[in-house]
Amino acid sequence: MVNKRLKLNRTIFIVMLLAIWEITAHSHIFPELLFPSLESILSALIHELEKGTIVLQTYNSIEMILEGMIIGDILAIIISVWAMISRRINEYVTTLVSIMDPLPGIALLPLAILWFGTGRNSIIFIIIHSVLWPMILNTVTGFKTIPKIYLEVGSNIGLKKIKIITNIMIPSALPSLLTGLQVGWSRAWRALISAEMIFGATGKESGLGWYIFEKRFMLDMPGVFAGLFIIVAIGFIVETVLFEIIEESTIKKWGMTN
Amino acid sequence: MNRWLIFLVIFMLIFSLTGCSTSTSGNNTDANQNITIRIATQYGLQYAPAQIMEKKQLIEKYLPGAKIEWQTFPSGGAINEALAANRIDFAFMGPPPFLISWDKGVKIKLVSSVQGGPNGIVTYRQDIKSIMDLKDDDKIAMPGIGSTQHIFLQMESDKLLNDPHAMDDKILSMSHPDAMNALLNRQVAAHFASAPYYFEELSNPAMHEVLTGREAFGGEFTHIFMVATEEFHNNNPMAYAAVYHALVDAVAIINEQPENAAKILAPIYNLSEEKTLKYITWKEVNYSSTPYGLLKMAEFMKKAGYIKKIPERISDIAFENIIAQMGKKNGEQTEIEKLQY
Amino acid sequence: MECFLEIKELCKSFVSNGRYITVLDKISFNLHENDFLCVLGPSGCGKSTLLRCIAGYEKINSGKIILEGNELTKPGTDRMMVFQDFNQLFPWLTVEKNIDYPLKINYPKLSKIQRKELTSYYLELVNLDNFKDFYPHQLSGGMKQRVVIVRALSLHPKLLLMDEPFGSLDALTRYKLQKELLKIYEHTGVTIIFVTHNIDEAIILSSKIVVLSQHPAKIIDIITNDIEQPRLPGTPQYGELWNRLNLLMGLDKSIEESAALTREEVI
Repeated sequence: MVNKRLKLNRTIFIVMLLAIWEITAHSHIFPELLFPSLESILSALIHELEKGTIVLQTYNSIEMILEGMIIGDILAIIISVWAMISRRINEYVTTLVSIMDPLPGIALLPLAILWFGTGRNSIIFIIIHSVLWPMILNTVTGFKTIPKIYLEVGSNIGLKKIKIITNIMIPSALPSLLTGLQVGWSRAWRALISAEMIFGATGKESGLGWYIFEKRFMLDMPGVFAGLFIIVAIGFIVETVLFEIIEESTIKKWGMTN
Repeated sequence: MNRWLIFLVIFMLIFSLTGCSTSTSGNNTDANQNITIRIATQYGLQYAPAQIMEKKQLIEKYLPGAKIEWQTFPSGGAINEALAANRIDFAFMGPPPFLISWDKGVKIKLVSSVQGGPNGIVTYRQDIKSIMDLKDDDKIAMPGIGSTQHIFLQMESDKLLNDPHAMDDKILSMSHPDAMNALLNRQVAAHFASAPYYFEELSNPAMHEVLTGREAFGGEFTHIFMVATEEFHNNNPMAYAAVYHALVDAVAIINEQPENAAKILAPIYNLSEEKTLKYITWKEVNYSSTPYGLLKMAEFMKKAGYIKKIPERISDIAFENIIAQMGKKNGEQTEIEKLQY
Repeated sequence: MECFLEIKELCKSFVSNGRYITVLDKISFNLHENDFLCVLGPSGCGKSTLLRCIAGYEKINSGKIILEGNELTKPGTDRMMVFQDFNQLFPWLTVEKNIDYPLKINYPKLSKIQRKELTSYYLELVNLDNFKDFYPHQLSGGMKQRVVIVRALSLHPKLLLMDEPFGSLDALTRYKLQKELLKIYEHTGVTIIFVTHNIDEAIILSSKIVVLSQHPAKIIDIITNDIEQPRLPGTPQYGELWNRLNLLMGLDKSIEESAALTREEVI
């Protein structure tokens, strides 16, 4: 019931925001060129979807972010496990995380170009950077707060080291891992869009950030907002729908949330 | 629900307040003395006249007491947004963003040409002799879509392949300094560079030129224009004249006293005076108030799909001083008019 | 083979704040197969440490723990531990999977169907077959402990080590579980070491009682408990044993002592 009310409230809020937008657009307080009405945004969106380029660009962006996230998250888990084993490594990792975590990915672009050249690999490097540090931070915290009893039961029922990691430590630390994933995702999504806006490849390899950059240059504001809408929609779907489903089917089902 | 209503009212208030502040300046015909002029420029020696105007206070010479707000923008795209939002009165920009704005109905026109500089595609790869030699994975770094360089590449692609967009997936959008680094580190096959990066790269013996902008365009072109909003032009004739004259003065200073100009520009660009002098007097660099290749650019941009209409007459896109400069002969084009095609 | 389990002069100490604290001091006792040993002692005396040493979680400083002729040093499935904590089932597995998973690890040759049969056999043993698809957080504390016990039994341990498993339960549930444990004990004949500070629990469950003293823990007495089941508090044997254990643990004395201590502190 509470959930339903929450959803209703949220819907009302969004509808009101849209209404304010529409009123503002039609009042011509702002130049129409820069503050388009919802109808023109919607028709731009439909037009872009029909044309298909934006679908391909969205696909490219998602593909890049998935690739970066998979590499980054696996790396984070390996590093975190390593940090759990050795105290000295733990110290190094903690120091490194505190240095690197606050750095915006986009600030590393010059380094990325130097190491990985221009294009896809550099963007993936920046995604990995965005994902890696919050994931390590949360994974290490997750591992450190695993109830000792699970590890003892694990070794009692005859699990070897690798199985303890994969079958006890990872599920026990899942609430923290999910937080890390979520933080990493939103950072990576932002970093991806901005990196694409700074150096995007055109044509087959370009992504959503580039699309917006292009539309912005062409002063096609309905097009820009159509792109922003897709970015927001994907962010919303991943953060509130996908993660919600994952949580419902794991930690919430298992009673592991506080 | 009451809280919602209050929120809504506050929201609307904020919106309308910010809305009001967008169009404050420029409506005061009588008090030119107290006028505020907002000018957008960009970073780079192509914009040198703007910096000379600012540092030598050339506008203030004609308009004592006027307040000049100089703003540096990162790109023509950003300037276009500011123009559409009526946040600036004058702007220094390349032809493509200007024509896009004009096409979209933003009320702006050309005040003057500023500079025509050389540019060209530079590569380290011996196997690349023409843009047709670029392999599938080879990229050309250049500043963004719709940059002058991008249009030139499309013109060449149109000539060679009959399709302006055939080379579009070869483009890698980067700022000139980043692109030069990438080229020198051999991380990108080629760079469509403009001055001074163009000169710097070509002074490296490992690099060679594939295509010049002039070859692609097929003649002389203006790289940077100054534009103004019609609103400012119509409401403030004196101030408009002052800004135009200040620009003409600045161009003249660069052409007549390049050492003096270099002295002013060197600290701004963190270069030695010698180097600055070298850059502003390099072969093919032309600071001039006369436009070149204006309509040719517009025609091609329509063909490539950037704009939907082309100017029928020069007065559609330029103020009276340019019309006067063009001249008019019955039955034939003037020499200056011919230079626009 | 004379002795099933032999503990010889077991010593265990910890370093805490730079000081050496002896917890277990020369603990020695023997156990036969099918014994139900209760280790009785005041809270914090080191009974749990003794159990953890046998389980292999703690390294011992000197002495030996020998099970069927083999010296023990590491944890193993031949000694299954049941803790007091209600959260020793894996929360991400259903009740059924909590039992199934250790089986799968330790008996890789069992087929899925065989494991399923085994699992439901054990769950029926504690009347929880209906709860097999539940997740641990949906069970009560008593139910969880029952699942933990059968999970331990399913691996056929030689020793079942129980560290105050019913310590956090309410009196009624605790009584029920004691009955159930006895039933399982009779049914399976598993050898059990059960740590408790509750004299009644020790009397009701055990066949043998080791009484430990405090700081450091030494064996005060080893008592064979052969009172016939059901052991009811009203019977003379029960009362006699209770008094004896109470005396051994020095509970009355220690209460007086601590009362005296408090008085002194107040003054």
